[in-house]
Amino acid sequence: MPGTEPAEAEKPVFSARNLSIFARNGQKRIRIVSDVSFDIAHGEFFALVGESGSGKTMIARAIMRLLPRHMLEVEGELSFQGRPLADLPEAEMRKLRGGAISMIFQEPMTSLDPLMPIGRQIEETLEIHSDLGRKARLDRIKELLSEVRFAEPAKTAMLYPHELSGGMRQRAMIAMALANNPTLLIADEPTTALDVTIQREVMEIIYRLKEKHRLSVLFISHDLSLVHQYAETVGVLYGGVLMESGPEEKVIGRSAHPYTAALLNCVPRRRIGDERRSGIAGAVPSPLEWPPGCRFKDRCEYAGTDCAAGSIPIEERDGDWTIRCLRPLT
Amino acid sequence: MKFDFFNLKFILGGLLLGLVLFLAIFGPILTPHTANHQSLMDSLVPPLSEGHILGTDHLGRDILARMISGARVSLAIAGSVVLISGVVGVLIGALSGYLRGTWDLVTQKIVESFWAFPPILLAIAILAFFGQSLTNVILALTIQRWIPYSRMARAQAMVLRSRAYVEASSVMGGGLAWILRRHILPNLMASAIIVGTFSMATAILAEASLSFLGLGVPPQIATWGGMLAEGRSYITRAWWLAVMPGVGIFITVLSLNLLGDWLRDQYDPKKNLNLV
Amino acid sequence: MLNFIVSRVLGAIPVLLIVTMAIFGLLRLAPGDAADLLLPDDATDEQVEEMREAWGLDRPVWEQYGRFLGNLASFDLGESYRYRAPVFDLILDRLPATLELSFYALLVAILVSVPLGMIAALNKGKIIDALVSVFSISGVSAPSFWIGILLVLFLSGYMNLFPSSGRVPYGWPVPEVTGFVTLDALLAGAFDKFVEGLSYLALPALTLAFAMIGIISRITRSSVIDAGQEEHVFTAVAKGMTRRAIVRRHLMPNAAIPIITIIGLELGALISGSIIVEVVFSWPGIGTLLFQAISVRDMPLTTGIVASYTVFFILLNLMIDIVYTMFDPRLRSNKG
Repeated sequence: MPGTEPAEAEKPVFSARNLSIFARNGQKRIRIVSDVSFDIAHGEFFALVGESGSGKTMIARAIMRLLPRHMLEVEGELSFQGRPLADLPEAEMRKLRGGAISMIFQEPMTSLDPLMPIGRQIEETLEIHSDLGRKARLDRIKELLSEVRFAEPAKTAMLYPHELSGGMRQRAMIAMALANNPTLLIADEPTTALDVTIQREVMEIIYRLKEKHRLSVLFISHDLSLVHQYAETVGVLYGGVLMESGPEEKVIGRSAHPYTAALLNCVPRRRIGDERRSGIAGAVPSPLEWPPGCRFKDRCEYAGTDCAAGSIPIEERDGDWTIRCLRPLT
Repeated sequence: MKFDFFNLKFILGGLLLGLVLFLAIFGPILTPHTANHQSLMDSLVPPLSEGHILGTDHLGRDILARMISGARVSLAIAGSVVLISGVVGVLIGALSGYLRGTWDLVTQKIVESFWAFPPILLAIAILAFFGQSLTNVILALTIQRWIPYSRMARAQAMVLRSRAYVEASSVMGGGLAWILRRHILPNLMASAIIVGTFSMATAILAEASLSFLGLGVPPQIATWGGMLAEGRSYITRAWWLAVMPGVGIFITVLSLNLLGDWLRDQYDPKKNLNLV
Repeated sequence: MLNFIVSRVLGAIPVLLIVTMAIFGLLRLAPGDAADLLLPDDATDEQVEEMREAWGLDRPVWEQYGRFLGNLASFDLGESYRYRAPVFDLILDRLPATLELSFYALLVAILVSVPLGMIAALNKGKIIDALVSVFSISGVSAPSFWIGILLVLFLSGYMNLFPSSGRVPYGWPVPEVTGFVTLDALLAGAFDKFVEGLSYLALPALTLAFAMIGIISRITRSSVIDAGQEEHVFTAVAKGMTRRAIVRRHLMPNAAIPIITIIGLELGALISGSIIVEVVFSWPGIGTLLFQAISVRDMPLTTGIVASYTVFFILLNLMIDIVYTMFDPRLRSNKG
């Protein structure tokens, strides 16, 4: 594996090296994600942040190899526990999905099968990945449901998705994702569709389970306040490029990249006199017309002519902080 | 809205419908024969014979001339049925959706009851009791056909009435007729045309079925369904008697279904408007 | 659930009232006195008087309607003057033939169209999908009686594979138990007679199925495609399920709901279609009975058949509605 890792003692659970994703449309090949590299250590809470269209969901799905192959192509290396995922035969990959790597989604309303009771849907995951007997499976389902704070797990297992609220459904999804003691949990905007109070509840559950089981979490979000609160490491994605990545206190606390700073500026803050904007002027450019050089330069107030000149080099600081910018703020 | 005219459904549907319309309009100029002229000397002449390109029937009547008559009857009846049921259905539905309340409740129950009759059966009953005539056929075919329009119009009017500009003009004192004409009805046109295209297809099938059963227009008028019913007895001796009128019905209905599909795709590829 | 059934049944009552009122209205509005309509042209004056009395034609309209309703409820549909027998008995007598034909037609339609639609959906955009589309749009565009005639021409006329009309050959030896020819043959243990019965059913059932195949395969295709795009299917993939297991456990059950709905809606087409198909194949069911009744202006019989077909259709729809609700847990508890 190229590059030196900060923590030599332990290999990362997951690592992405020069990941690029292309959409294929007939003869055309459009680059959606370019050259993204990051690692997630054992028990680490890694947040991938970006606006919609930044390619963050694509990355999550690429890890699970859930992208339709005839439409999307993946380049670069994704490896899980040192094994490159691209080379795994489909049957091996299926063993990982829902097993060592599991996933929860943005829409708890539609992510569960409306015709099947919750318990049965959890049981399916157990049937695929474990050799527990029927009785043991039912016990496990109850255990899982109480772990995501259902007061009456036996009763909840019998319910259909429409009988649960959005937050309850998301908790049931988490129970399902945890069924086979995964090593890596991919959470794709798990709280976006929920009310603020329920968001906290779901986040607390994810965090508590992460602590308890030493779970690695890839948390995908556009909500910087949640990221600030829970993430240990942050990657900021813009237009399919990783703009800045590193420990939360550095990326969020001392943001060097103008884009990270601009994003943070959009988050409502209470400090009096702080200038606040409701959003960054302009829109994310379409993958069909990426500008040359830095993709953020047209919306960046610090951009100069050199920003359009060509590919922007990555600046490394302290061995754990990378910034892809010619004019870092700090 | 941009229409995609380089579409197989549109080209094929348009060509076929164009052909049928052309025959129906200019047909009488194209053939020297009339639909009911009998000539027992020339009975059961096969197609592609001299003077009778599609052959003749058991009474020596020219099949092409009868096919043209059938096309005219079919299109005229189906056309009137679609027009009447469209106007009636859209108005009733738009009113139900816009006014709601008692009017809506009552019309909904009536709609449900009309819909409770198996299709065709009500038409058969009407013709059986009232006798056969052009008006009765049109009445019999219209009686259930306004319902799909009224359902569509009701659903869309309910959405429209809560739109800001409709509410605004109602607050500003726009009368019911004005709001309907100005805001509701124009917005229903696209859907009404789509429903109408499919409805025209089923109306032609229904008219043909009634004529086949001998319940359509009076028997002295040549219709596709009637020709099929008569030709059935000669099927092993003269296949064209039963094949030709069926082809006429089939290509007309097919062209309308293709055009309806195409229109629906143009309007909204995801939405599934009711096929009936 | 019980509440739902009760509310559906209660909801059907006004519909039944309006429908019977409409049929009664037809009788009243038709040109001429109902007594003239309901009696043959050569009826004597006494017969006319008798009829007026029986139908209460000298009474107010509402009372007449009440009487009509009462007669319907007690299965007294009057007497056919053509057959000189009670209308209800005549209908009951022909019912098995129609039901048997409809059953096989529906069976053929479902067995052909559901797999066809599934294959098209799972191979969306490929040649096979296009072929199924062409087939289904042709199916809805071709009149069933024409298809029937063509089938007779080719399969019966040219190839002599199936009988072209009737239900059983002359001198059918199987004793009648249920009235269903194929079932009776099986009960009698006569397998060859079962096959023979099926050969008579083949062409009419195929014809009747044809029109339904177009619509059902189309709806199956679109509902399987829609179900496949739902997010919970994605969740199932992320669980590590195989494609086959997903199709069987998540995709098909979800796609089944719209398919069941359209099959229910198609029962109306089945009933109307059977009238015409029976006439084409001289199938001795209710459809031919209606056709004969109309051609000799046997009004009691016509009225009786129209009324019982419609009531039957309403009750059938009610049943479908309830079955469909039991299938979908969302409806089950929302309305239950």
